[in-house]
Amino acid sequence: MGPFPAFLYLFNSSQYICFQDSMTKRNVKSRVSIQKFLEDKASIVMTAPAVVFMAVMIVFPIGFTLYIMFFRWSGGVINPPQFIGLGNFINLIKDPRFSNALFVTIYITSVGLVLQTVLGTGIALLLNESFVGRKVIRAFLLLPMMATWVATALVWRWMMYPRLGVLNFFLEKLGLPTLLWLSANATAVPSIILIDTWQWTPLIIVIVLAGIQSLPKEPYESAKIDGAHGWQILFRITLPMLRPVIVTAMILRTVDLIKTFDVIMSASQGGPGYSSENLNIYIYNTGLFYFRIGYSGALLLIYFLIILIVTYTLSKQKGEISF
Amino acid sequence: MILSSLKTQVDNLSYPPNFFFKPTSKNYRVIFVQENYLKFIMNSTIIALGSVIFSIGLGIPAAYSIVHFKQKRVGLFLLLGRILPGVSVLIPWFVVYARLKLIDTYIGVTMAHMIQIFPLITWLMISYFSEIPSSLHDQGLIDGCSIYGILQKIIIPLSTPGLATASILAFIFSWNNFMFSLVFAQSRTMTLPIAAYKFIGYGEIDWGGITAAATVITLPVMILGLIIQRWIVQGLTLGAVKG
Repeated sequence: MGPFPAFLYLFNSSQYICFQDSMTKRNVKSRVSIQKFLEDKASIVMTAPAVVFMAVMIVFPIGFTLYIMFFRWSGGVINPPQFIGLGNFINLIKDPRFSNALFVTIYITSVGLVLQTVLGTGIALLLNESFVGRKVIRAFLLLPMMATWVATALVWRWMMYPRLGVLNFFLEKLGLPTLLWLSANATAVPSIILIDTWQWTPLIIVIVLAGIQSLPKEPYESAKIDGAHGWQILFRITLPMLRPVIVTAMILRTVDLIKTFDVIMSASQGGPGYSSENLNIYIYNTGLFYFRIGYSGALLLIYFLIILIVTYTLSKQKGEISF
Repeated sequence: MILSSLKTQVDNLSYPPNFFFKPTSKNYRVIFVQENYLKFIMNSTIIALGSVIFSIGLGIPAAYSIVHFKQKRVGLFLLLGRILPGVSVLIPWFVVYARLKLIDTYIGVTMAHMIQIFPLITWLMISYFSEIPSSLHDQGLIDGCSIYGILQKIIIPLSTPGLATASILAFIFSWNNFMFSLVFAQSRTMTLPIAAYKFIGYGEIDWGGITAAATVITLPVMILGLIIQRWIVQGLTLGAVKG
């Protein structure tokens, strides 16, 4: 198990050090020098196992990706990786499935983000009004996030089942046309956004609610003295003061929406066709389904860059707002 | 969901859906007897517990050191596991795992889960440790303890509640993990989410079975989630912590 045994040894010996320091004199020279090393370099000794583990688990894959993206390789031992230079990137530009996946990623992220932020903030503002059963509702809000994502997506898939699903039943009752939901190209991505919104809007609600409760009271009092009414207070005081909190929630959601995987994989598997396949699913399929490992490396690089740029711009955004 | 898990296939396929029906335990019998869900529950538990325990072992000293010596860069480095998309780690490790024959072993799956569990635990503990006043550390020094002794005899006993909630949260994350399990946990170490996912591979979709499986998977984490609800948001918002 990697660095764990070494760490265990340090941890056991630490008890010994403490005991020996306080109870007996240091009489064994070599032990003293080990102790001294452990004491002086404590910051390194304590973080080393963690850093080594993370470096092995994460830096190695990045290095591997940066190397393999110049090769054509199907993962086999008999056929070694074959150097093709920038060939993978040339394929990538011409690949319609890649541009589709890129589009789906942007689609899910932007629509999902707007929907979840607006809904989440709105519901949080409503929930802030005190009424009976507020605590129960807050506890229930957390359940969709905790529930195993695969399980919930499967149940949604069943509710969206075109001929027998509950959703179409209600649509019919309301006199609306029924939908094909996940089974049609046009509605597959919106259906996925719907599931994701159901699952993750509560996160925004909870964050914003916590933000509202930590707002200072004084601005509201002065606003009342100035004779401001409800909507003015909401748009001129509450929302501007909540802005850093909302932006934080949006950053979290953006990063996760770009990485949407579980919901798509279990609700539609990227289908029908490739219509609901985002970059994450496409890369997964390329690398582990078609075993085009070199090409998946090239895709991964693009994906990395997108995530890095988005995360970086968003974190700067936050820095500007939260003075 | 729970409703339809108690229905028979005939009831589930009736249209319009009937909300009043005779409950049946058949779906649960299918799950536990025919599909051997006890084994998947065991697998999920072993892997989740394993990754939580190892992550705590690695994470606690690191978290304390990061707080005590103010090693912000190390902290941010450890956070990488939560920012990077899972696929970027998945494909290279799949290649290596295949060579080392680690696929479908408990160690392999546990290590993969740790990529995400470990930063979570470390950062929760960092936020918890930083609330402990440093005067306690100094008292430990006066009593002749080394930093390891202080950690073991003062800090850890003090932060048991934080440690417990962090562990539960990490347990839920590992329990729910789909992507890593889908690739690394195949037949022998298959976890619950994957087992439920495999349900839809059959010709006729057994919705009663799926919903029963979903209930079995979700119930434990929902109960755990309600216990620690106060902490969940903090755990989920870790990605936004920027030094």
